Amino acid sequence: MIRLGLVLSLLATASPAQEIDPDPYRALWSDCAASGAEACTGQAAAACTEAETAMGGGSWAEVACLGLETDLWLDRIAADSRALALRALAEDQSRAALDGPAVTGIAASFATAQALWQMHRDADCVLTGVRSGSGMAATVAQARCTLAETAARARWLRAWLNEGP
Amino acid sequence: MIRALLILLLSALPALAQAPDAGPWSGRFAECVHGMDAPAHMRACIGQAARLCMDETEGGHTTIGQTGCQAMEKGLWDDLLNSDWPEHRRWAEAADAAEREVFGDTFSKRAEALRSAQRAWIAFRDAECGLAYALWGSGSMRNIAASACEMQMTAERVIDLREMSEGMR
Repeated sequence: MIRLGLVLSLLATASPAQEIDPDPYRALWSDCAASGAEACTGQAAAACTEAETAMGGGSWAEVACLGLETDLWLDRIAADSRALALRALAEDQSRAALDGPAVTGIAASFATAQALWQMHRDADCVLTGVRSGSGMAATVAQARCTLAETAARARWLRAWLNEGP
Repeated sequence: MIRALLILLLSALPALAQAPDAGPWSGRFAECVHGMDAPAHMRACIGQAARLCMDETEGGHTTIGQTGCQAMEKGLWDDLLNSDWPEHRRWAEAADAAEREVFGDTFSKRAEALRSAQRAWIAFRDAECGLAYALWGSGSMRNIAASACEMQMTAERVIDLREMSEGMR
């Protein structure tokens, strides 16, 4: 009976149906992202959660808000990755002209590392989630982990873009 | 399964250089890591054994020397990762077993999640350090960069998993 109740309650709340508009939180995130300070990660999500909770949102609102900020970081990762991939291709071509083609160029290595970073982030955050328990507690912990890991990767990529490896 | 994971852990990366025997530095490495009262404090030990190895070995500061000393320290962290593994697995399996009594198999996925996360991390470490290698082109610095990356990431993984296991044992 407990199991059935839990499954039903999870199914009932299985998706954060409400799409939250990121615009009110974009400026807060931008300031944080521009500052490079690690401590401000999650501020946009926290402001969103506070607003959504005031309107009656529960734990799903927190998960949706964490996802909203994660998406903002992911947009930056996508833009920076494109710039880094172009730079890597140019570097590969200029090296190939001097030394002949490398066994594995920077562009291919970067693409592989980014794809495997995402798989690593997802698997680690599932682990972080289930370590915290089951059901909603795990979902919230997983979303927090995903935000933290995504923001850390975004900062690393931006530093590479601006200052070199 | 355990054996398969250990083999994965040990064979994931090709050796970049012949690592010197860890004997002269393993004691001081152990003193450092076991002397820390919290996993996060172990970060102070990262690179210490490699630096001692470089200072105390003839040619330790050459490219080959640095690469080998870092590979040696990476091996020490790998040993720690392998020796910690049964303890990490134990908390995950114990928590799964306790939960299974109430919920069946639906939510008891910690041991499975731990294995998946470790496999994904190994693949990521190899790729990330492969990138560090590629970034240095054809110069010999690429060997130092890649072995430093492997040492750093393996050490960080030991610490991260210990932090995750804390409070679960």
